[in-house]
Amino acid sequence: MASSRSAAGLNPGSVGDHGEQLEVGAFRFWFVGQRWEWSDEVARMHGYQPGTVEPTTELLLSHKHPDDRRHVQELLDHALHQGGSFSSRHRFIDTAGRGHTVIVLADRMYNDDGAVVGTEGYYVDLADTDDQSRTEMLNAVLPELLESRAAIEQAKGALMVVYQIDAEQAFAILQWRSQQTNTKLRALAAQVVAELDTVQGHSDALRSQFDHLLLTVHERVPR
Amino acid sequence: MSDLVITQDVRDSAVVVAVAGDLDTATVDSLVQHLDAAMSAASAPSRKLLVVDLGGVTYFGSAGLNAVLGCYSAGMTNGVAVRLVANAAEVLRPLQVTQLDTVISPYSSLPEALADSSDGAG
Repeated sequence: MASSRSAAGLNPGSVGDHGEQLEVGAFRFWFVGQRWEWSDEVARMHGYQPGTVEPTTELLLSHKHPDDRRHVQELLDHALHQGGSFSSRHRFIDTAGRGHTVIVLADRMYNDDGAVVGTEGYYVDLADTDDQSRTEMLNAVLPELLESRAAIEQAKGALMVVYQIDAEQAFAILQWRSQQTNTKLRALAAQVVAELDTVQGHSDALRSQFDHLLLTVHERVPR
Repeated sequence: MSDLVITQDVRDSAVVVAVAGDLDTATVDSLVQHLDAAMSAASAPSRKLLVVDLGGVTYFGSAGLNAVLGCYSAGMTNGVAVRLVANAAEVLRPLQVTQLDTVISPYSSLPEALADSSDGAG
């Protein structure tokens, strides 16, 4: 994704309240073609200047921890077999030969037809933290990541209805406003959701159409 | 973790590649090579049918998915029908959730895959 696009909308890349900063970056992985997108933060974790490298199966193989049998893609393939978000510990070696332990927090990525096309989520770099502080930080960070993801998804849904656009376009608009105004995407999205009730454009026609959709939608769900 | 075992059976009217074991990033290259060789054999005018039997696959991820898709599209180019045999959830679920089963619809057994004459192959 070169440098401009933050895969799951988390920027810039650190969270944590009490001085200790955890690096967090976003990624997307498409099953077909085994194609990757990295946010700038994930590129830096691996030791690359953002935009200078294309993450591929082979590149990631070169970062594999010698004691690990499985490629990181096998971890993400979890979403092929089971729904719901999942998290897993993963190790890799950066370009300087330093080992990193990250928590991979991920979920299924869908296309407009409801097909699972890949996995998207976050790398949380645990750096050199000991077990105790690691646990504390994760407890602080994980709910925040999940909440920010939920806020972004909710804001996307509102934009999709109002502007009659698809999920990708809705995300692009949020991202554009985030970059233009130098506001974190998750904060922007949360504020959009908080202010939804101030929009007074309810039309009876829209509500009536949506009533019909809601009451009949089960008939169109593929079983 | 079990090793990948691949056997190739060149029959009069079809080539059958049977795959057993864990099909992952580490083992997929060997499958791709076997499928390439099988595609050449299946391109003979008397055959035009390649059956990939995944019945013995114990781990199936995106690496395997891509190998199968690659074989399918090579079949389109070469005029070879590529059919998949899969009967375990390990293989069926990934095909279903990605909706790739609408592209390559799996057969539940090898005899069924060999017997189907709907696409004129075999």
